[in-house]
Amino acid sequence: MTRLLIATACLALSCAHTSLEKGGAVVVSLKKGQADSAFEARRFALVVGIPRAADDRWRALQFASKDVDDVSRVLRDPLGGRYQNVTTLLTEAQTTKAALLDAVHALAAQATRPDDIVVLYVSAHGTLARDGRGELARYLVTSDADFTDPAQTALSISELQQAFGTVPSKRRVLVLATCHSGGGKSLLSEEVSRELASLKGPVRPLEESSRAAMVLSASDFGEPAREDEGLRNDVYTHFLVEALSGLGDRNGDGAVTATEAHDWARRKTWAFSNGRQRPSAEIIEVGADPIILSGSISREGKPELFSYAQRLDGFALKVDGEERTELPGGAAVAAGRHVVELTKGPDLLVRQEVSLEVGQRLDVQELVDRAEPNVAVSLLAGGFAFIDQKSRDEVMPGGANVGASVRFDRVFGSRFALELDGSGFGGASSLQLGGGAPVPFTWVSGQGGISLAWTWRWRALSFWAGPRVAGLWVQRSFSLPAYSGQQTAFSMMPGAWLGGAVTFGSRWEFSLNLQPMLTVLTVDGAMRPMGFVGGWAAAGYKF
Amino acid sequence: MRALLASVAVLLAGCGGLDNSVLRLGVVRGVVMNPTIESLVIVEQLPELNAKPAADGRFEIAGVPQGEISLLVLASGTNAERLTVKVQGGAVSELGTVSPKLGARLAVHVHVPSNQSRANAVVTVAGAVVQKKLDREGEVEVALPTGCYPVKVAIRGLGAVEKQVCVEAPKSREVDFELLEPDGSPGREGCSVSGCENGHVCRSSGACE
Repeated sequence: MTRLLIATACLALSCAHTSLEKGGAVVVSLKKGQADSAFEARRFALVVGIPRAADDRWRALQFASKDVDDVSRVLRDPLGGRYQNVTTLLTEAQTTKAALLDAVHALAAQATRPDDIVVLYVSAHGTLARDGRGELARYLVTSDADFTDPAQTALSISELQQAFGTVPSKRRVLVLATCHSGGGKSLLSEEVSRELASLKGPVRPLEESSRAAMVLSASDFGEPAREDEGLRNDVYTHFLVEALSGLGDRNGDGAVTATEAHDWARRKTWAFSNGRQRPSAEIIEVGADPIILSGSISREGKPELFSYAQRLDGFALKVDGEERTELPGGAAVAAGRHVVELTKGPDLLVRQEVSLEVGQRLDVQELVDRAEPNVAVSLLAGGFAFIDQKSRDEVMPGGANVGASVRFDRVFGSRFALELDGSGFGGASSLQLGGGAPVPFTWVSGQGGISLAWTWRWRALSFWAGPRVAGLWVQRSFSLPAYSGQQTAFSMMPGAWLGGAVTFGSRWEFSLNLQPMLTVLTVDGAMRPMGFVGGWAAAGYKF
Repeated sequence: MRALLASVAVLLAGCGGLDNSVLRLGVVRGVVMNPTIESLVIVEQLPELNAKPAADGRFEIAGVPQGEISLLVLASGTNAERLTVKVQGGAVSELGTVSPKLGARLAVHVHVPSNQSRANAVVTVAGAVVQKKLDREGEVEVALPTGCYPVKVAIRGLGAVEKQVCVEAPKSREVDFELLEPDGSPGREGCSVSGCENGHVCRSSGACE
């Protein structure tokens, strides 16, 4: 018997009425009364539990009601969450698809200030179904959901996220205490179960991207979220409530932020479930983490080391030789100098000595970026051609080229790379000028470009895409019985740079690059716009 | 907006340029057997492309568009030939020695009003000027291959007359061209421009007496 539950909690809160800002970027000197009256952030919570549905083929959840009680209690607690406006939805009438969306829209009408803290917590069954486009999508089992037709009657997570995204506040947390794997708090139709069983691994559904600032899930996709008889709660919810009671205040500043609460609940859930349930978080806004779910900042906290970067998943964060946590997550340390290491098994990714001050938050991703070589020098070999056949016939056929490039990773932020490249080559070929015999000629061409690209890295792989501008110089030489001479043209080409690389060790890399460009060359006295594409393979060394 | 797009295009176009038009032109080269001073080789489709063979008969016409052309070889007062030549862009089409056969004889008679001078008459056949001058009777003879040709007679001050004339080798054909009395309009001012035959005087009306 699979236990299914969904629960999560979201808490958000700001510290505008305090004299300290989490992250310590700005210190404003105001009288406490003035700040409280003018800038105090309001806290809203919508806590939803769907213990049963009208269609009794969805098995009832034992502790969804208690999850709602516990979460709303800790949020209302004057010494804890201090939420002034907590709405709970539990009855069958309150938890239909339409009623739930109405409640979210009502929340959006109330929480209109950018610094309002808004939490939407849902503990319910989850399921998977094919949506109208045939894509596998996650659904929340509302009280009116039909077991045989969840796509039409249940509430898609995507739709819920979109509705929650309409809340004007910038401090929003959506907590989903549910799962969609078919185990734990999830039920799947026979059709979807058969489909998933035929796959070798879990398939992550395609969903519209959420506008919510933070989405915390009780389990990662493909892993069950469970209720527990001993805890008498959804497991993740139990530890989330525990975190909000104050235990999650990792840096001891008096406040429990969303990431602190999730890290606490994630770690505890992982241990409690013996690794079977791994809560996940989609955190769009990390940085200073302004979403305080419980308490308030009353003092400067200990320095924190953290990372939620996907590429660092599974790495152990060691401070002064002692393992403090496994990423994603964070750890608080004493102020002062520390040796920080990231390791996975015997592999050491980075080891750096850092000096940390009280209240400082350091994303260890920055240490990795700093430690990694940032400049790649590569030799290129590839080819180029005009996209259309007419230009290849009448201007110049495609050809090979060789060259070199220098790429600067992590310019304008860690995600951007800048590349300078130059290439050229020559050869002999012929033109096809319509009706006549091929016209033999020799050519020399050169290209020089500059590209700026957004880079995505995963382990030893990196991919990039961005704008590029290049100069194209072409010289054709003819030695015909009736005509001899050279023709030269130069043009600027705007376009794009797409590519990917695999790194061997930490220094060598092999990359593939593609550059679709647009150029305008003067041909027969008229300007002719032409598509131009170049591609090359490159072997490089990183400094 | 259009100006902006044009500016961007000019910026992108950079400088220099590639010229394929020169690669679509070829050269026709050959030797006319027994050339005379009147010999002429004409690209029939583009009569402005023509060449007068040298004393040894060699001729060359450059800038001929690639493709199939018709070449008129007017070798002498009696012999003429029409050749079909395939021209390759950038290449030279060597015709070798051309020995025109006996052609059709076209006699062009030019008649002018009231003793106007015919000394400056220009006869154009197939778009090319015939080199030979009119004789005293106002006649010029041209040998042509069988076919139909535009024939034009023009005298400054008296205007021009054009006719489509068909000939068939080796037959002869005579065609009269009658230029009209001057009327003082531009190009037809009469003897004040064209002059009068010997012994005649040009009047203010443009007529000769």
